[in-house]
Amino acid sequence: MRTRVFLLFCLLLSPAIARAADIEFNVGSMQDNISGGAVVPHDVLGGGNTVSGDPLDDDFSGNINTIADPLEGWNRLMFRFNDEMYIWVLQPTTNFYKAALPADIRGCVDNFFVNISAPLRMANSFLQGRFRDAGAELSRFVINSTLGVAGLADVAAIEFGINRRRADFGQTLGRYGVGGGMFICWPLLGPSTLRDSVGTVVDTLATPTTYINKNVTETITINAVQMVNKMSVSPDIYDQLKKTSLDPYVAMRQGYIDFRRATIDAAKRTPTEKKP
Amino acid sequence: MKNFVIFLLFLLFLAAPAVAAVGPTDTLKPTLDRLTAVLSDASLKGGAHKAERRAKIMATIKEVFNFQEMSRRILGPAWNEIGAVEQSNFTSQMTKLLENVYIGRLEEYSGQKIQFVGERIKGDRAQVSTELDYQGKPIPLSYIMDNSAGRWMVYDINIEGVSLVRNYMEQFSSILRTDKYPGLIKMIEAKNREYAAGGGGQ
Repeated sequence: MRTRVFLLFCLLLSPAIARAADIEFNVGSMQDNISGGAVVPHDVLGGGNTVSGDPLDDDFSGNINTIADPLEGWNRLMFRFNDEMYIWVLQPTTNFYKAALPADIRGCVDNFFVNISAPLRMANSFLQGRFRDAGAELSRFVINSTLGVAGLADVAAIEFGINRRRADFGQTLGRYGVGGGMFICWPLLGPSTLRDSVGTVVDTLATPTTYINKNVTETITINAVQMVNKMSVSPDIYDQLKKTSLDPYVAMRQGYIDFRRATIDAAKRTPTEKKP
Repeated sequence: MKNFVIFLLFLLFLAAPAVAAVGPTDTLKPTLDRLTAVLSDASLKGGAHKAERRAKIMATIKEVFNFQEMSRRILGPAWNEIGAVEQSNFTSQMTKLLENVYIGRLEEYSGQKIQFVGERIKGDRAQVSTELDYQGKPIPLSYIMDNSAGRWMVYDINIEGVSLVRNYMEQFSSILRTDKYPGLIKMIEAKNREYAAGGGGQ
């Protein structure tokens, strides 16, 4: 029984970690950002927040503390726990890993994990009504799985200019008006909201790596490799956040909420934007 | 003589709309180009030239960055309560902090070109989207600008929906509740000293 609970916990780790470390940047979403027309203000957090996602509408006034965070005390504790884990476990491991493997190979490993979750992004794009993006993810999956040798090379982006689309189930829920609910900082998984936590569970159940693992050790290994590899190829956002902020917890919370809002706004705009 | 005056007036009329018509990207681009030039200047590289390099960068960037406006927005309602003297002190401390945060970051990407990928204008505000290259991955960086004073000036930086100004504003409002303004300014000063001591950045 205990093993099963532990296994479930480990399963929970995989895409969430990928996403937590995945606050990276791609061109596609930025283009959404630019070409977007009128953005309908919406209640992102279900907590009376009326700030629209458009930075040009933000007056920075009267909207202070709109993030629902009733568990702040607990969340801050988890934030500290994650920080210790980061400093004492994750960062040293990543540094060792970086030194052991050249950047090219780490890039291939990253491509591999990105590729096996392509069907997930395709399904979510489809559910969101972003049919072009769903098609793009399908093309990417087919091209990279074949020409890209089982996803080790991102041929679709390099040769065909089809960049990765961002799509997850939390975004799908947000796309149809589900508010984020309260903010939660999970141990090891990092920042999330109620909505995004549900999204993470659903995405995990739909990820191939959830099913190919035969035992606990393999599950942990795959998730750990994915997490460490992701960190080794991403900008050191977390370090920067700690270094530049006066209250890293608030900075992270605000950053996460803003980033998710932008992601969902982009998803809302996509279907209308393509048809002039 | 009269003709000459008319000619001058005529020139003025020609010039005036030309000045007013400078768009957000056209205002920002020359400054960022100069900034990249300073950043990739070999004679200014390294820790030994940090003070000189930073001075040049700040002089350049102040042409389009409205640090007072940024500071006002970051402090929120408390701005009006602290008085003019403290406002200017807060602005200078905040300018120093933003310099450490923003320039410190740019210095790591030195030598790489800034790509201008888009511009969007909405009334007196504009978003100029740029991309920096990080190990082959484009990092989108948007400059949010305001034209209410007749010249496009940057008052916020936005990365993937994450606003620099709002992020600090939320942090500060949480600090203001417990430590009030004197506590906050002490923390900012301490952070700047940390940067100066080499704790943050090179």
